[in-house]
Amino acid sequence: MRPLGTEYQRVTCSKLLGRGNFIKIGDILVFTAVIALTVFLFTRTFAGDASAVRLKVTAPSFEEHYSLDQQKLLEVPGPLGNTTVVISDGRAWIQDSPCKEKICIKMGKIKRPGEQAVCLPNRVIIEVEGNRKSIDAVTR
Amino acid sequence: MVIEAEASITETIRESSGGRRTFFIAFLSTMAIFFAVAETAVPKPLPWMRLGLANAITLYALSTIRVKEALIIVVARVIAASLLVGTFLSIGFILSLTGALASFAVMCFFYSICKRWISLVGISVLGAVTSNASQLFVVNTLFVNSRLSYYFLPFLFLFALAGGTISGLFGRFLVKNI
Repeated sequence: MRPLGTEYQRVTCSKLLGRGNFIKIGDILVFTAVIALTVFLFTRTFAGDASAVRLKVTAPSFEEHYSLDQQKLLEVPGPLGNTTVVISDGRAWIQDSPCKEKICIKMGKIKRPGEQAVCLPNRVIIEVEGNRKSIDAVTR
Repeated sequence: MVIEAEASITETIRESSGGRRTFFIAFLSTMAIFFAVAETAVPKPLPWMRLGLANAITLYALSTIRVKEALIIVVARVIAASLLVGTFLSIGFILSLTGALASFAVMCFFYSICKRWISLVGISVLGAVTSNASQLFVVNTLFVNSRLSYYFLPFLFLFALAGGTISGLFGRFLVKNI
Protein backbone atom coordinates (compact mmCIF):
# COMPACT_ATOMS: atom_id res chain seq x y z
CA MET A 1 0.00 0.00 0.00
CA ARG A 2 1.39 3.36 -1.07
CA PRO A 3 1.06 6.32 1.28
CA LEU A 4 -1.16 9.06 -0.09
CA GLY A 5 1.45 11.81 -0.07
CA THR A 6 3.94 10.33 -2.52
CA GLU A 7 1.76 10.92 -5.54
CA TYR A 8 1.74 14.66 -4.94
CA GLN A 9 5.46 14.93 -4.16
CA ARG A 10 6.33 13.26 -7.41
CA VAL A 11 4.32 15.40 -9.79
CA THR A 12 4.23 18.87 -8.30
CA CYS A 13 7.55 20.26 -9.55
CA SER A 14 7.32 19.19 -13.15
CA LYS A 15 3.68 20.15 -13.41
CA LEU A 16 4.29 23.58 -11.92
CA LEU A 17 6.63 24.43 -14.76
CA GLY A 18 4.40 22.62 -17.19
CA ARG A 19 5.17 19.75 -19.47
CA GLY A 20 4.86 19.76 -23.21
CA ASN A 21 3.77 22.93 -24.96
CA PHE A 22 4.71 25.45 -22.33
CA ILE A 23 4.86 28.50 -24.59
CA LYS A 24 2.56 28.90 -27.55
CA ILE A 25 3.10 31.26 -30.43
CA GLY A 26 0.40 33.65 -29.23
CA ASP A 27 2.17 34.07 -25.89
CA ILE A 28 5.31 35.26 -27.59
CA LEU A 29 3.20 37.69 -29.64
CA VAL A 30 1.40 38.97 -26.54
CA PHE A 31 4.60 39.44 -24.56
CA THR A 32 6.38 41.15 -27.44
CA ALA A 33 3.41 43.44 -28.05
CA VAL A 34 3.08 44.44 -24.39
CA ILE A 35 6.81 45.03 -23.96
CA ALA A 36 6.96 47.02 -27.20
CA LEU A 37 3.96 49.10 -26.10
CA THR A 38 5.56 49.75 -22.71
CA VAL A 39 8.87 50.82 -24.22
CA PHE A 40 7.05 53.01 -26.73
CA LEU A 41 5.02 54.70 -23.99
CA PHE A 42 8.11 55.19 -21.84
CA THR A 43 10.02 56.90 -24.63
CA ARG A 44 7.00 58.96 -25.60
CA THR A 45 6.03 60.22 -22.19
CA PHE A 46 9.47 60.72 -20.67
CA ALA A 47 12.10 61.20 -23.36
CA GLY A 48 10.17 62.98 -26.09
CA ASP A 49 9.29 66.36 -24.62
CA ALA A 50 12.04 66.64 -22.04
CA SER A 51 13.89 69.50 -23.70
CA ALA A 52 11.10 70.86 -25.84
CA VAL A 53 9.75 74.35 -25.38
CA ARG A 54 5.98 74.29 -25.34
CA LEU A 55 3.11 76.68 -24.97
CA LYS A 56 0.72 75.88 -22.16
CA VAL A 57 -2.76 77.29 -22.63
CA THR A 58 -4.93 77.24 -19.52
CA ALA A 59 -8.61 78.14 -19.37
CA PRO A 60 -11.37 77.13 -16.94
CA SER A 61 -12.63 74.43 -19.26
CA PHE A 62 -9.40 73.02 -20.63
CA GLU A 63 -5.64 72.84 -20.45
CA GLU A 64 -3.54 72.05 -23.52
CA HIS A 65 0.07 72.06 -24.62
CA TYR A 66 1.10 73.22 -28.06
CA SER A 67 4.37 73.25 -29.92
CA LEU A 68 5.67 76.72 -30.73
CA ASP A 69 7.04 75.59 -34.10
CA GLN A 70 3.77 75.92 -35.95
CA GLN A 71 1.27 78.37 -37.33
CA LYS A 72 -1.90 78.11 -35.30
CA LEU A 73 -4.95 80.15 -34.44
CA LEU A 74 -6.68 79.05 -31.25
CA GLU A 75 -10.11 80.04 -30.02
CA VAL A 76 -9.94 79.57 -26.25
CA PRO A 77 -13.35 79.64 -24.58
CA GLY A 78 -13.65 81.56 -21.31
CA PRO A 79 -16.49 82.97 -19.20
CA LEU A 80 -16.78 86.12 -21.34
CA GLY A 81 -16.33 84.54 -24.75
CA ASN A 82 -13.55 83.36 -27.02
CA THR A 83 -9.99 84.59 -26.60
CA THR A 84 -7.96 84.37 -29.80
CA VAL A 85 -4.43 83.02 -29.29
CA VAL A 86 -1.98 83.06 -32.18
CA ILE A 87 1.12 80.88 -32.46
CA SER A 88 3.51 81.93 -35.20
CA ASP A 89 7.27 81.87 -35.85
CA GLY A 90 8.10 80.38 -32.45
CA ARG A 91 6.15 83.07 -30.63
CA ALA A 92 2.67 83.27 -29.19
CA TRP A 93 0.38 86.12 -28.30
CA ILE A 94 -3.21 86.94 -27.51
CA GLN A 95 -4.64 88.69 -30.53
CA ASP A 96 -8.17 89.36 -29.42
CA SER A 97 -10.10 89.01 -26.22
CA PRO A 98 -13.63 89.95 -25.08
CA CYS A 99 -12.33 91.56 -21.89
CA LYS A 100 -12.61 95.30 -21.14
CA GLU A 101 -9.01 96.33 -20.48
CA LYS A 102 -7.23 94.37 -23.22
CA ILE A 103 -4.18 94.03 -20.96
CA CYS A 104 -3.55 90.55 -22.27
CA ILE A 105 -3.12 91.88 -25.79
CA LYS A 106 -0.74 94.57 -24.53
CA MET A 107 1.41 91.93 -22.83
CA GLY A 108 2.78 91.26 -26.27
CA LYS A 109 4.43 88.27 -27.85
CA ILE A 110 6.03 85.62 -25.69
CA LYS A 111 8.67 83.08 -26.66
CA ARG A 112 11.11 82.39 -23.80
CA PRO A 113 10.41 79.75 -21.14
CA GLY A 114 8.67 81.37 -18.18
CA GLU A 115 7.03 84.18 -20.10
CA GLN A 116 3.30 84.60 -19.76
CA ALA A 117 0.36 86.45 -21.21
CA VAL A 118 -2.70 86.46 -19.02
CA CYS A 119 -6.27 87.54 -19.48
CA LEU A 120 -7.73 87.65 -15.98
CA PRO A 121 -11.33 88.66 -16.85
CA ASN A 122 -11.63 85.82 -19.31
CA ARG A 123 -9.44 83.53 -17.13
CA VAL A 124 -7.09 82.52 -19.96
CA ILE A 125 -3.39 82.02 -19.32
CA ILE A 126 -0.77 81.25 -21.95
CA GLU A 127 2.69 80.40 -20.75
CA VAL A 128 5.86 79.16 -22.42
CA GLU A 129 7.18 76.08 -20.66
CA GLY A 130 10.59 74.51 -20.95
CA ASN A 131 13.49 73.14 -18.98
CA ARG A 132 16.07 75.77 -19.85
CA LYS A 133 14.81 78.84 -18.07
CA SER A 134 16.85 81.67 -19.52
CA ILE A 135 15.53 84.18 -17.02
CA ASP A 136 14.10 83.78 -13.56
CA ALA A 137 11.21 86.20 -13.96
CA VAL A 138 9.85 88.83 -16.28
CA THR A 139 8.64 92.19 -15.03
CA ARG A 140 6.84 94.70 -17.15
CA MET B 1 -3.76 -2.30 -2.35
CA VAL B 2 -3.24 0.62 -4.74
CA ILE B 3 -5.46 3.63 -4.40
CA GLU B 4 -7.07 4.28 -7.80
CA ALA B 5 -7.07 7.91 -8.79
CA GLU B 6 -10.60 9.17 -9.23
CA ALA B 7 -11.60 11.63 -11.94
CA SER B 8 -9.91 14.99 -11.35
CA ILE B 9 -11.86 17.85 -9.80
CA THR B 10 -11.68 19.70 -13.09
CA GLU B 11 -13.41 16.82 -14.87
CA THR B 12 -16.00 16.55 -12.08
CA ILE B 13 -16.80 20.25 -12.30
CA ARG B 14 -16.98 20.11 -16.09
CA GLU B 15 -19.50 17.30 -16.09
CA SER B 16 -21.54 18.35 -13.07
CA SER B 17 -25.05 19.70 -13.34
CA GLY B 18 -27.91 21.06 -11.23
CA GLY B 19 -27.26 21.58 -7.56
CA ARG B 20 -23.74 20.16 -7.72
CA ARG B 21 -22.85 22.67 -10.40
CA THR B 22 -24.26 25.53 -8.32
CA PHE B 23 -22.12 24.27 -5.46
CA PHE B 24 -19.00 24.28 -7.62
CA ILE B 25 -19.72 27.83 -8.83
CA ALA B 26 -20.12 28.96 -5.23
CA PHE B 27 -16.93 27.10 -4.31
CA LEU B 28 -14.91 28.77 -7.07
CA SER B 29 -16.39 32.15 -6.07
CA THR B 30 -15.24 31.54 -2.51
CA MET B 31 -11.75 30.68 -3.73
CA ALA B 32 -11.65 33.88 -5.80
CA ILE B 33 -12.89 35.95 -2.83
CA PHE B 34 -10.26 34.34 -0.62
CA PHE B 35 -7.43 35.25 -2.98
CA ALA B 36 -8.79 38.75 -3.55
CA VAL B 37 -8.96 39.43 0.19
CA ALA B 38 -5.68 37.68 0.99
CA GLU B 39 -3.96 39.87 -1.58
CA THR B 40 -4.81 43.03 0.36
CA ALA B 41 -2.62 41.76 3.19
CA VAL B 42 0.44 41.50 0.94
CA PRO B 43 2.65 44.58 1.31
CA LYS B 44 3.00 46.51 -1.92
CA PRO B 45 5.13 49.51 -2.91
CA LEU B 46 2.13 51.26 -4.47
CA PRO B 47 -1.48 50.93 -3.31
CA TRP B 48 -3.01 50.16 -6.70
CA MET B 49 -0.59 47.36 -7.55
CA ARG B 50 -2.16 43.95 -7.45
CA LEU B 51 -0.88 40.48 -8.09
CA GLY B 52 -4.23 39.38 -9.50
CA LEU B 53 -4.30 35.92 -7.96
CA ALA B 54 -8.11 36.04 -8.02
CA ASN B 55 -7.68 36.30 -11.77
CA ALA B 56 -6.23 32.78 -11.72
CA ILE B 57 -9.60 31.51 -10.53
CA THR B 58 -11.27 33.41 -13.38
CA LEU B 59 -8.91 31.68 -15.80
CA TYR B 60 -9.68 28.34 -14.23
CA ALA B 61 -13.42 29.05 -14.50
CA LEU B 62 -13.04 30.12 -18.12
CA SER B 63 -11.39 26.85 -19.04
CA THR B 64 -13.73 24.59 -17.07
CA ILE B 65 -17.25 26.04 -16.99
CA ARG B 66 -19.48 28.17 -19.19
CA VAL B 67 -18.91 31.87 -19.82
CA LYS B 68 -22.09 32.93 -18.02
CA GLU B 69 -21.10 31.01 -14.90
CA ALA B 70 -17.58 32.42 -14.99
CA LEU B 71 -19.08 35.92 -15.19
CA ILE B 72 -21.11 35.18 -12.05
CA ILE B 73 -17.88 34.23 -10.29
CA VAL B 74 -16.15 37.45 -11.38
CA VAL B 75 -19.00 39.74 -10.26
CA ALA B 76 -19.52 37.84 -7.01
CA ARG B 77 -15.82 38.06 -6.27
CA VAL B 78 -15.65 41.82 -6.82
CA ILE B 79 -18.74 42.56 -4.72
CA ALA B 80 -18.00 40.15 -1.87
CA ALA B 81 -14.31 41.02 -1.65
CA SER B 82 -15.13 44.73 -1.50
CA LEU B 83 -17.67 44.05 1.25
CA LEU B 84 -15.04 42.16 3.23
CA VAL B 85 -12.29 44.72 2.71
CA GLY B 86 -14.68 47.61 3.31
CA THR B 87 -14.55 49.43 -0.02
CA PHE B 88 -18.06 48.61 -1.23
CA LEU B 89 -19.45 51.33 -3.56
CA SER B 90 -16.31 53.45 -3.13
CA ILE B 91 -14.03 54.65 -5.89
CA GLY B 92 -11.86 51.59 -5.48
CA PHE B 93 -14.89 49.37 -5.90
CA ILE B 94 -15.93 51.10 -9.15
CA LEU B 95 -12.38 50.72 -10.43
CA SER B 96 -12.05 47.06 -9.55
CA LEU B 97 -15.45 46.30 -11.07
CA THR B 98 -14.48 48.08 -14.29
CA GLY B 99 -11.13 46.35 -14.43
CA ALA B 100 -12.59 42.93 -13.68
CA LEU B 101 -15.39 43.21 -16.26
CA ALA B 102 -13.14 44.65 -19.00
CA SER B 103 -10.42 42.07 -18.45
CA PHE B 104 -13.02 39.30 -18.32
CA ALA B 105 -14.47 40.42 -21.65
CA VAL B 106 -11.04 40.45 -23.29
CA MET B 107 -9.92 37.15 -21.78
CA CYS B 108 -13.20 35.52 -22.75
CA PHE B 109 -12.87 36.83 -26.30
CA PHE B 110 -9.31 35.61 -26.75
CA TYR B 111 -9.96 32.32 -25.00
CA SER B 112 -12.93 31.48 -27.22
CA ILE B 113 -11.32 32.75 -30.45
CA CYS B 114 -7.77 31.45 -30.27
CA LYS B 115 -7.11 29.21 -27.31
CA ARG B 116 -5.12 26.92 -29.56
CA TRP B 117 -2.57 29.68 -30.12
CA ILE B 118 -2.46 31.39 -26.75
CA SER B 119 -1.87 29.64 -23.44
CA LEU B 120 -3.47 30.78 -20.20
CA VAL B 121 -0.39 32.86 -19.36
CA GLY B 122 -0.76 34.99 -22.48
CA ILE B 123 -4.50 35.38 -21.91
CA SER B 124 -3.84 36.38 -18.30
CA VAL B 125 -1.34 39.04 -19.40
CA LEU B 126 -3.86 40.40 -21.89
CA GLY B 127 -6.48 40.53 -19.14
CA ALA B 128 -4.14 42.28 -16.72
CA VAL B 129 -3.17 44.89 -19.31
CA THR B 130 -6.84 45.51 -20.14
CA SER B 131 -7.72 45.76 -16.47
CA ASN B 132 -5.05 48.37 -15.76
CA ALA B 133 -5.70 50.37 -18.91
CA SER B 134 -9.46 50.47 -18.37
CA GLN B 135 -9.04 51.49 -14.75
CA LEU B 136 -6.76 54.34 -15.73
CA PHE B 137 -9.26 55.38 -18.39
CA VAL B 138 -12.09 55.43 -15.85
CA VAL B 139 -9.97 57.38 -13.36
CA ASN B 140 -9.14 59.88 -16.05
CA THR B 141 -12.69 60.39 -17.31
CA LEU B 142 -14.58 60.29 -14.01
CA PHE B 143 -12.28 61.62 -11.33
CA VAL B 144 -9.00 63.25 -12.26
CA ASN B 145 -9.46 64.52 -15.80
CA SER B 146 -5.85 65.44 -16.38
CA ARG B 147 -3.34 64.44 -18.97
CA LEU B 148 -0.88 63.78 -16.18
CA SER B 149 -2.43 60.44 -15.25
CA TYR B 150 -1.34 58.96 -18.58
CA TYR B 151 2.22 59.15 -17.28
CA PHE B 152 1.29 56.12 -15.16
CA LEU B 153 0.39 54.04 -18.19
CA PRO B 154 3.83 52.51 -18.98
CA PHE B 155 4.35 51.64 -15.30
CA LEU B 156 0.91 50.07 -15.15
CA PHE B 157 1.74 47.99 -18.22
CA LEU B 158 4.94 46.77 -16.56
CA PHE B 159 3.01 45.78 -13.42
CA ALA B 160 0.38 44.10 -15.59
CA LEU B 161 3.07 42.10 -17.36
CA ALA B 162 4.52 40.84 -14.07
CA GLY B 163 1.22 40.26 -12.28
CA GLY B 164 -0.43 38.72 -15.34
CA THR B 165 2.42 36.27 -15.78
CA ILE B 166 2.32 35.20 -12.13
CA SER B 167 -1.45 34.76 -12.02
CA GLY B 168 -1.41 33.07 -15.41
CA LEU B 169 1.15 30.52 -14.23
CA PHE B 170 -0.94 29.97 -11.11
CA GLY B 171 -4.12 29.48 -13.17
CA ARG B 172 -2.27 27.09 -15.43
CA PHE B 173 -1.09 25.19 -12.38
CA LEU B 174 -4.69 24.96 -11.15
CA VAL B 175 -6.01 23.67 -14.48
CA LYS B 176 -3.29 21.06 -14.83
CA ASN B 177 -3.19 19.79 -11.26
CA ILE B 178 -6.62 19.85 -9.69
